Amino acid sequence: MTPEKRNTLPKAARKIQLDFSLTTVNIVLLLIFFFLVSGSLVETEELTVDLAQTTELPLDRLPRPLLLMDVGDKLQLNGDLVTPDSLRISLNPLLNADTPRLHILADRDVPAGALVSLIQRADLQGIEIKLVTLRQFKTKP
Amino acid sequence: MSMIRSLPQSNRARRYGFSFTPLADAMFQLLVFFMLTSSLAPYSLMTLTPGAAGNIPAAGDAPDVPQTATKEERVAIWSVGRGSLRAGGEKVALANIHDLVDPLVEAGLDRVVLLTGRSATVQDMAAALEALTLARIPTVQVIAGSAQ
Repeated sequence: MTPEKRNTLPKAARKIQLDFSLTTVNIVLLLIFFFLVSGSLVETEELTVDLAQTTELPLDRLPRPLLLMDVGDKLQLNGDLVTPDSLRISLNPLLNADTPRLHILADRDVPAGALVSLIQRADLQGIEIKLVTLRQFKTKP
Repeated sequence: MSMIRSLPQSNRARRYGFSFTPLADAMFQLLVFFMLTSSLAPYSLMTLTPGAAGNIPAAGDAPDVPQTATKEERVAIWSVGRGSLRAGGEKVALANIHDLVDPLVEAGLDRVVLLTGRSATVQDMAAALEALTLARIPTVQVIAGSAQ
C-alpha cells in the first residue's frame, strides 16, 4: 500500500489557546459573589464600637436603618450624626411603611439605662427596635 | 507597475483575539472594594420593641402587656447590675443566669420585669435578655431603674 492511498484520520482541530486572564476572572468573580452574599456594607464608624456579645442567638446580617450609640452619647443614623431631637425626623424617610424597624448598634459599655431611655421615647412608639449584638462562638472545652 | 505582485491572500479565516486582561483588572477593583467595605462579623439581633414600659417580647410581635399583674400571672422582678443579677434577694453572676431562669421556666413564669441598675451596661442587659429570650419567657419588661 502506497502512502498516498492509506486512510488516515482527519487532523484534530487546532486547540484554541484561552487567555490566562479568563481563569483569573472566574476566580475573582466567585470571590465577589462570596463577599456580596456573606458580607454586609458598613460605615467606618460602625466598626469602632465593641458590641455586646451573645452566644446562642441565630446569626443575622447587619441591617438598616442602623442607629449607632457609642459611649460618648454620640448618635449616628446610617453613618450620619443625629441629635436626640432630630432622630425621629431623620428616621422618617428610612422607615419601612409596613413594618417600621430600627436597629441599634450600641457599645457594650454604654449604660443600660441610656439604651432603655432611648427605646422608651414616646416618638419611637410603634417602631420595632432590635439590638444588634456580636455572636461569640463558644469554644469547646 | 505591472511588476508589482501582491502576496496571495491567506485562505484561513482571520481570527480576532479577545483579551480578558481589562476585565480581570475591573473585577479586581470590585473585589478590593467589597473586601474593604463589607463586614463578615457574625451579628445577632435581639428584639427590643418598647411598649408602655419597655415590653420586650421573647419572640414575635409585642403583645399588649398589662402594667399590673393579675392574680394568675407569675411575675419575677430582677435587677441587673454590673456582671450580676439580683432576684429575690439572691445575687447571681450573669454567667450563671441559666441556673436562675430554668427553674422559673419550669414553674411557668409569665413575665419578667428587668430593672437596669446604674452600673449595668448594655452587655449586662444583653446577657440577661438573651437568657430570657432563649427560655421563651412570654414577656420581658425592661425599666431603667437605679436599684443598685
